Amino acid sequence: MKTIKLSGILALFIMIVFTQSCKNDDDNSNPTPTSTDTTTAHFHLQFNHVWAMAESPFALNTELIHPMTGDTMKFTMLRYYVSNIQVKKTDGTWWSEANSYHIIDVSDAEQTEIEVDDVPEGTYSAIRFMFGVDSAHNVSGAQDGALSVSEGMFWSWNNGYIMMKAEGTSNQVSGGSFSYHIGGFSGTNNVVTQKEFSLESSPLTVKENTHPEIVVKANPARLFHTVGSMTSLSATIHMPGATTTQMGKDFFDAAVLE
Amino acid sequence: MLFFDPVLSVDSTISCGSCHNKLFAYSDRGSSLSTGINQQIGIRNSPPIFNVLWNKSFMWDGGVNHLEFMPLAPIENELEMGEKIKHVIAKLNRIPEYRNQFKQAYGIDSITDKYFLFAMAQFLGSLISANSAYDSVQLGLKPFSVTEQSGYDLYKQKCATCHAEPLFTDYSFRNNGLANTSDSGRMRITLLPEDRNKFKVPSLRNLDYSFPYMHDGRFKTLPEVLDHYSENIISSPTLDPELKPMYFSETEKEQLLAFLKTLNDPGFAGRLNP
Repeated sequence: MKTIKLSGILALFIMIVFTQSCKNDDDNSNPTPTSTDTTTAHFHLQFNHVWAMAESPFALNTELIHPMTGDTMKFTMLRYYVSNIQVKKTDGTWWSEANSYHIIDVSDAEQTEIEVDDVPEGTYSAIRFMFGVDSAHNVSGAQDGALSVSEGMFWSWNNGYIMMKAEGTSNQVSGGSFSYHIGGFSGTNNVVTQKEFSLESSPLTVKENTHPEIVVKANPARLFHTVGSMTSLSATIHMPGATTTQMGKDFFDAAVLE
Repeated sequence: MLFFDPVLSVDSTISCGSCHNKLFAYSDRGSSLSTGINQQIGIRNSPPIFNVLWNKSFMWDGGVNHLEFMPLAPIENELEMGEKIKHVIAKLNRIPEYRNQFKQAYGIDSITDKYFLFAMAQFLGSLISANSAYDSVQLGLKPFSVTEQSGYDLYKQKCATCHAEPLFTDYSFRNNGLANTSDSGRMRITLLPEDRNKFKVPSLRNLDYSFPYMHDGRFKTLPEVLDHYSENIISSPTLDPELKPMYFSETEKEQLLAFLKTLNDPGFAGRLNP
């Protein structure tokens, strides 16, 4: 009996995997057409990075002084996930971007902007999205696009996406360089943060041949807002935990509309 | 094919099969710890691979949450294969035979990490061990011997809570009272002090091929394992509450060993025609 049961379950599993694979093939070759009777267009979601309260420009490979801790540092990498982008229609329901997973990478101007396509034309009164990757997609096996494990934003020994990488150099840390990999999607170490911004004062109008833009301002100085000076942190933190959860939350929570 | 190809490691010296050998139920030929690239020694015992479709998590500490993610851990571990998945995919794309096979299997022109992981998961999932003497007894094809039956009854009283039938594990993480364990186990993943020294309960199938035993391979033989559960359990704050010293008699140990032998699947381990 047991053998029969095991083989049965295996057969079912293989069928599921094959069905899944075929479906994915189709997705790749024929993008799902949107409803034919709705005209769609796009908008841009831009992430601008500024430094500290003064909001001076933030750039990689530039010496920055943290106003609160006095630490000097140069960032060499700042990458993070933005996912699950939705905009609110006039009837109060939300339109959701399909397969909405993106990596914002400060080293590449093009990768600080997300073009959100296939949006039904119309007026929208709010936007929401997540910093990080929702918990379900941390436990869903191999994926592609921004969730491809080749992006280097996934922990192989302690599975889950690295929601944010902040790396650079500083005289305040032993060895002279720092590397904070921030992640965690469950329990007290959940760093995934949903943000919602009202657009009522200046609604988003999506219309063919226009390029409306929503600009979010993010401030990497906030990484150290609660945890304080790098002198009291490990130079390298490559796992979920209280320190990186705090750093990620402080950064994500402080993002505002420009 | 991928499983046995050292191209998956950074210097093309180590394949999955190097430490997961079919003749040992896909464990490492009796090694306590395994040797990766540059003669480096890993931190835990290479577990056997079978019936993984039913696993709820992977690795001794449960750090891998999906079968498709499993191959990444050894590939990217610096002590094991020391590679980066991105580079593995680039190398595979330079090998026409792999490109052809992926094209046939998935209809894709170039190999991507997703389909590589799909292919690996397909192979790992196909490693089913369900043809032991125990399985024949359950199918009504033959009876246990008297000694095996006594061992089975004893197993059901003393071992089945954690090593639950028919897969002989409940996939939980438990501290089984080993002495001198510096490895924090499950706590490495959850960071919870209550998970200190807890490891995933391994299956009891194919024990004759998957020696030595425990997360660090400290016990070479099954009698040593039984001695541990009989009288050598060390108390600690995270010791499993279900676990008490069992004080097996010599006869009981023989009965248990006889029963455990019925869980070997020689066909699976390629040992039917030596």
